[in-house]
Amino acid sequence: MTVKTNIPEALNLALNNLAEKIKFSEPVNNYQIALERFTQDAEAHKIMEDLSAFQKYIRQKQNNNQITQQDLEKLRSLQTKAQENKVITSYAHSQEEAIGQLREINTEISSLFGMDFASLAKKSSC
Amino acid sequence: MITKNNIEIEISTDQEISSAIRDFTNALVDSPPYKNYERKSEIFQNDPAAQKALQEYRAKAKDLQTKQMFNTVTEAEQQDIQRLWIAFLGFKSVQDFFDAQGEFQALCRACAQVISDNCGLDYATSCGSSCCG
Repeated sequence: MTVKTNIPEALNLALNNLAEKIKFSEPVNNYQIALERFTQDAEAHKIMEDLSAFQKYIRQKQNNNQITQQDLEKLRSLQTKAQENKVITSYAHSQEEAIGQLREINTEISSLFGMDFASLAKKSSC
Repeated sequence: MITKNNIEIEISTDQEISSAIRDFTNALVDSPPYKNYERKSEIFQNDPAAQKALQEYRAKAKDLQTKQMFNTVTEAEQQDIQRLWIAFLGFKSVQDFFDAQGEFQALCRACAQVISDNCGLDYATSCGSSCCG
């Protein structure tokens, strides 16, 4: 059961302002645009689905030491396909940049606050 | 200013973000759960009996550290360390401190959730904090 925590009004105002500023920061905005493109691009989606499904298949075979040369070639070919797709690479790159932005923000909050805010905010169970 | 879906979007400047961070941090330290956490932390730090119980527990835990690595802690030692931990938790200042800490952490989680919902990335995980460590 999840217990909803009430955020005091003054904090809520400052929080919503911060969340808005983060949302419209260049890296996060770029990430959201790239995510939208990725979501709407059937080809990019298919490539990632194929890659993910084949990686899962390889992991299963790995447990039984049954990976063949053909399997490795197919994996490399799917990885290359993903790396050559502009929608996928731009999505991956923008995600890295957005994460970098969040980390910078967390460093700034934590240095003002004197405690690591992200560690305090982590979920308590898996 | 950029255009997204025919809507003009104002991109946040570094200055605006820094100012929003400052306002947020100030509001967080002014919030009742943080104030309560600070107060309960001070009471706990200044409770000599609770501090003594904590030191005894830590000393025992340190003694058993190597044994725990090799899984050679005896039943009696296990009971001993458990007894020290329960004794430590029995102090009101300790209970109050943990309650206040839990309440403040829940507030931080709720704040991080608002940021995550806005940016589409999990804040705590992106910043390197997962539930497991």
